[in-house]
Amino acid sequence: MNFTDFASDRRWTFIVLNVCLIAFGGMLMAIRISTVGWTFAGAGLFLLFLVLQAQIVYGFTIAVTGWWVLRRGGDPVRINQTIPPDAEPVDIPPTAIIVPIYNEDVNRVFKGIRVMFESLKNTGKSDAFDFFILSDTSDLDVWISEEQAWFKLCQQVQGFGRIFYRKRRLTLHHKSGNVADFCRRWGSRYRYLIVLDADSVMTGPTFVRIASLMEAHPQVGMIQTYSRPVMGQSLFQRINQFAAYAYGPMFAAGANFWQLDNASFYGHNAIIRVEPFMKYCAMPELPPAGRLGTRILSHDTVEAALIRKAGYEVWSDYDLGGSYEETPPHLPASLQRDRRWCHGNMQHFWFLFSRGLTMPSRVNILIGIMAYAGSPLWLLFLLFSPILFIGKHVPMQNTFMFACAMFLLLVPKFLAAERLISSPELRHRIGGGLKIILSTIGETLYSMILAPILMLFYTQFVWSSYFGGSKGWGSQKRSDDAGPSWGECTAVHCAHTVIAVAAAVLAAMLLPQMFPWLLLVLAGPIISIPFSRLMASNKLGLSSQRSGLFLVPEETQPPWEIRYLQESSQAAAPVISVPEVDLKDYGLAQAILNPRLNSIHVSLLHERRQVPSRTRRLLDHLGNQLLSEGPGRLSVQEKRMLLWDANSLLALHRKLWSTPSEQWPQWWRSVFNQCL
Amino acid sequence: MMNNFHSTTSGDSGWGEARLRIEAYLVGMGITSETERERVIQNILKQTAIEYAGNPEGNPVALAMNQLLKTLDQWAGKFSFPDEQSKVRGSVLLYAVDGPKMWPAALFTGEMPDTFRQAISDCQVAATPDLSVSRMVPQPFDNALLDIKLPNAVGKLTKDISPSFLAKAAAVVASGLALLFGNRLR
Repeated sequence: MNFTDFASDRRWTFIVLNVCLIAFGGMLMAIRISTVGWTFAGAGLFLLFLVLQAQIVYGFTIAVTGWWVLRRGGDPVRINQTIPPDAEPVDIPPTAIIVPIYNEDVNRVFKGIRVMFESLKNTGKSDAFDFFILSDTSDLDVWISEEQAWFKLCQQVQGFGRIFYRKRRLTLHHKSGNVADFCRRWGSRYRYLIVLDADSVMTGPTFVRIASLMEAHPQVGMIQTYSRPVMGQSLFQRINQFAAYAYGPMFAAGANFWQLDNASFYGHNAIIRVEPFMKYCAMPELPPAGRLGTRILSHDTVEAALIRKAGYEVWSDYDLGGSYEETPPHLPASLQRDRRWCHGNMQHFWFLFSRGLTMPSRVNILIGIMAYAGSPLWLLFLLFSPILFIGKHVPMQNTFMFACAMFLLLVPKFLAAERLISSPELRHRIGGGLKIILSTIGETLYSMILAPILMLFYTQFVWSSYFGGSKGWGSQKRSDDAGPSWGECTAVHCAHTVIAVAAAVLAAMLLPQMFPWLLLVLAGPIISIPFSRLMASNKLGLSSQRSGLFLVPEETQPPWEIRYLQESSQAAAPVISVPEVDLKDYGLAQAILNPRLNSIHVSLLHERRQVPSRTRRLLDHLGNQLLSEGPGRLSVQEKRMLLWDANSLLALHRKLWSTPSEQWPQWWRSVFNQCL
Repeated sequence: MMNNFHSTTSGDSGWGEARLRIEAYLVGMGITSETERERVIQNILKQTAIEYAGNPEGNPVALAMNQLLKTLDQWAGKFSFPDEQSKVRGSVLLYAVDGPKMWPAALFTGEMPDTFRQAISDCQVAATPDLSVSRMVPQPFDNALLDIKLPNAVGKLTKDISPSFLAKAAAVVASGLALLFGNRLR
């Protein structure tokens, strides 16, 4: 697309708007500080304020811009606009759809792949697409279940040769290593790569559409779709879904207004041109800095920046539809995910200074960093701001500044509600005007309570990213029927509750005139335990849905793909179903005992190489120990060794079946019937 | 279950377990037809009994299972799967076409219905496509922060800033100030 002229105009307009608003806030703050006299502390506070103000102003500006763009019927400069919606689909070149997984809910993952495969079939263009399930799973039971599910799925949809499964033996460099491993082995077979998360769902027409857009624009390196959260059951998920539906398009349209061909990449629900991706986007090793580590954990934004640096465009296709994901079921699970993301984003600090990146790429990286680094800065500001004014007369600008801050924070919400209400179609699909207003008010209150809670956690995460503490790259909790118990919520939040109560008492004693303002911040952490528990409730989620609150169109008029995923009855819609057995080492037992699974598992192992005689002796010893004593005395590593060795598994299978049961240890007797 | 076959050379307990073991294996394979299972069990046990007569020290369970697995290997061998790993692939093909459920008789009688043969030859079970190896190596980490020298940095910065950039920046600041202080100045 030729937009060189106005791209610059748009970006300058955007910068001017931001600078003016930041300067206005800065002026109010300067007046406020000058009433108590400028000191070094005051100047520090002022600088801190400017940084934080920039963050809020950026959000406000893209929301307002996005609202304005959408109200005018959409941005004329967007990637989806370049091909008419009813255009005849082009011949699509080979495209791989990859789903990197790590200890995920097997049934959910494979149900998702099945629905996408079927949806793609309905388009008549499915021959161009191959699915790859790229497993880095460390849990041995989950590994065997994945193999079982892959085989079942291929049988059900005649997917052999179209749906592939690969388990990595050495799981180097997390997800980016997983994707790079795919590229090195099979990347050159495909022109495009569509990256999905374990909980992603995209419809067939959307797959075809984004591949057609790439085919029409050879200069485009990536297209990121806007994936909407769906299928939430808890109140936490449903409110987040509503927020994403109400505000998301505005923010995405506003971001597209200035980013244009320099959008960001979120790591999933996006299409990538394989050749430049392989050439320019392999993740470099980082220089050591604190506890940040040298391997990049979160690769998406960096990959977008690197492919843009190489001259390829990166677009956000925010109005395409048919792209979905699921969100964590409750706050503790969401925080677990944030901890990983935070560590990854902090590593991006290095790329701010990488040569050759475009300005918008640097801004995207900075926004990602500030999403977490903003929290310790807010905390510092909130701590030092009252200290500066202890014993001083608090100026009246407090009220005005508060009103201004609220304006910046609340106007986007107001505009979002206005946009939904003023469109008869949108209004009708999510319960009507009154329900939209009530949902927006509810979401706003929820955000006000949540924001300070997140601030405290994010501060902790940023600290531990640089100075230590556990980080991990564990699997993400994607659904939870029961939710966390009160005990779990207490364990997660009690420290912050205690700190917040103490701070409230101190503020009431030392700064009575500022106490009401501080209470707005402290209220969240004080009530975080019951808040977290109630938000995790599926019952409350369901009752809010029945009341017509926080509705999204995927609840009132779900597409068949979502309906299928929600369908639990196998009679109504046959689904992949791997038995969920609460038995330790169930996977190992199945891989040895079950004739079908033994064959499937062995056939999936790589061709045998020459095993050193010492290793062979060890494997034989471990196998004998497993047969005679059960798996209790084997370490996970030893069990993994056995599961990777085809010879051992074939021999154990024959030996076990040929041994009279009185010679079996108790464990094998107890698992025998469950494994068939 | 034990009504048809009676061993003449061993106590019933060993043979009882052998029968149950064969049946469990056939269930594990996915043979759902009880009639077919019973037929296979009888065949295997008869062959095992003959072997047992020549080797009375052997355990019926071990002998029966060896007999069953040998029969299955022979079936896989018919499809030219000579080595162990290839036999496994043959078994996987069998499962992929749902052979034990659809054509259980074919596994043990040696007769291959055309439909079964066709299903097997049409089925391609591959966990991954053929490798097509290529390189993906990181570009050098070209980072200004790593080789920055502070005294030079200021000079370089001032050199890098173009007059047009300075003009634009001044315009932005001026317009911002004008918006903020316009009222006062008037």
